[in-house]
Amino acid sequence: MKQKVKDIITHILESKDIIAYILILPASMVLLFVLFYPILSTILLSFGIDFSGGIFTFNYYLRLFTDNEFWSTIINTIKFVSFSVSFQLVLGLIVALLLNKPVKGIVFFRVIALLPWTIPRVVVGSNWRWMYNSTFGIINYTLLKLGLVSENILWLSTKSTALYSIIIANIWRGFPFPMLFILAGLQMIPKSLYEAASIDGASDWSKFFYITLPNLKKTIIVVLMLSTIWEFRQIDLIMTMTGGGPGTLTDVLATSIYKQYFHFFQFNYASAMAITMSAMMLIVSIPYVRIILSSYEGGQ
Amino acid sequence: MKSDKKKVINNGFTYFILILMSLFVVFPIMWMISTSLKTEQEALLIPPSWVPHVVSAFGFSYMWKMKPFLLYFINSLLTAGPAAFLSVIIGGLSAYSISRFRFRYRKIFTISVLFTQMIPGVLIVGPYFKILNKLSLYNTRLGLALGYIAVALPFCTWMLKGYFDSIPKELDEAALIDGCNHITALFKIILPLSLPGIVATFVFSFLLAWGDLLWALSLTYSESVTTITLGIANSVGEYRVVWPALMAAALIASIPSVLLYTILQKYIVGGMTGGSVKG
Repeated sequence: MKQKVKDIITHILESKDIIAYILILPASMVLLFVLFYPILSTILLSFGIDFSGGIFTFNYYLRLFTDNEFWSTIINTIKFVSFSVSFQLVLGLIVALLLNKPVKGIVFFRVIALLPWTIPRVVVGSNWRWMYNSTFGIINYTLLKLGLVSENILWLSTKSTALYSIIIANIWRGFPFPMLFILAGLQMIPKSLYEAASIDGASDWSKFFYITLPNLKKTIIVVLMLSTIWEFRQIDLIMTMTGGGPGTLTDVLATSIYKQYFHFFQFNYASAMAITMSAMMLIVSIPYVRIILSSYEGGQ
Repeated sequence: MKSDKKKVINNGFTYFILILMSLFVVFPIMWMISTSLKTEQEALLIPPSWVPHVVSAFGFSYMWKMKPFLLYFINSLLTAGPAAFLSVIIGGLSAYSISRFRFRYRKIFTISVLFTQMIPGVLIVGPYFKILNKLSLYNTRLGLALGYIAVALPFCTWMLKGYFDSIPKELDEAALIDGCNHITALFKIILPLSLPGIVATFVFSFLLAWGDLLWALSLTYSESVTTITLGIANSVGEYRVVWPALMAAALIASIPSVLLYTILQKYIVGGMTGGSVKG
């Protein structure tokens, strides 16, 4: 009997497939319970069905189309994501190019440049909220002193400034992320390419356009996708700075879904919104998945 | 000679932009530090003072009385820590599997892991809240920690797969010939060689949970299980905010995150893309 058990164990330990499946078993369980089950139940809920029953309906999706608040949330999301990501990328690219130069003290600047990204978003949000404070804030004080504004501005509660004020804080928090990726990408470009170009008498600009940018293409696409996905789903900064308010003025999809679910208990409607949001994100992330999978299969 | 002159101008320009960038980065941080060292009266001075007239420990002593921040810190540690630990173990096993074995559902599993990283947290947290409610785990540290495992696991699997892939297969194949089985090969060959990567993965998972707001906001309501980030977010929304105390708490909450990310920055890039973009 004992020998038999031992045989089975040896058999398992020598059979590659069985071991492979045993190894992914715990992870698969977690994925199943905390990821696939929620996704499935959200899809069902969005059609009016929960596990105890319900009637299939498209009503929640139809309601999205006629809900003005939903559309203004979509527009906010697009503004928030596109402005944040593009400014973070451009700023990150410029800083990375400079940080790649072999000048004295560059290590110090590299540490400084990464700082904002290392601070939790909730902390960043609280701090900027304090800086934007209309009465006691340092931003209004500085602008008044420089003569750029004539009176205190209510940055986070005025329609024309609220969302953009959050976006500025978000650019501050997020630019080191693309910077880090691009810096890593720059260090991968062989130095010999630049040396050869120098011998041919190429200018700095043509080196940038013909060597640096083409070599960074993949890095930039990957970081663009990652930032887009992350900015799409984040709620921390908006929640701490305005809570989506005043009213729904600064709500993005993620904050709006959270509120529909946990404040108004509109589970079906929130689910329809969440599915719409996920569909948008999946479409946006197709190029990223392609790149990751191609390099992943190519690396075999 | 001419190119020397050009180089000096070039370097001058580099420093100029880098100093501008540093000012933009450092200004909000300095303001946070400055506020944390003021008395409440001075923080609400008009016009505000850049540097505290009197450096005061008011903020750092009052924060613990304002809110039970010590408890919040403990709650953050007790949820983020175990969650990171378990995610690394579970993620490590599956990463070893997809890195070293070629089995039938390998690709489906890998793609699932990749896609779950893209699913918005707000989609998962709602149904997850209902599950916790049924299991009476809503508003408990355990429930929150389980949620953090869900967040960190795909990331861990992906990151560790990158490290395991970078270890030459010949090494564990040699060990197999020498009489190791696949499990002992994992412990004797793979783990020691990828230890720095495993530590980095653990730290990143920890920080992922440490910085979280969404899950804590959705899955807890009482003070006894409030995490540090939730505590700060709650305080900032109150009618009367004691800014020096809040900024002091914010600073302390940032310390682990700032230190660990700075130390481990070389692991960030490779880790997030499973090694497909090298850091």
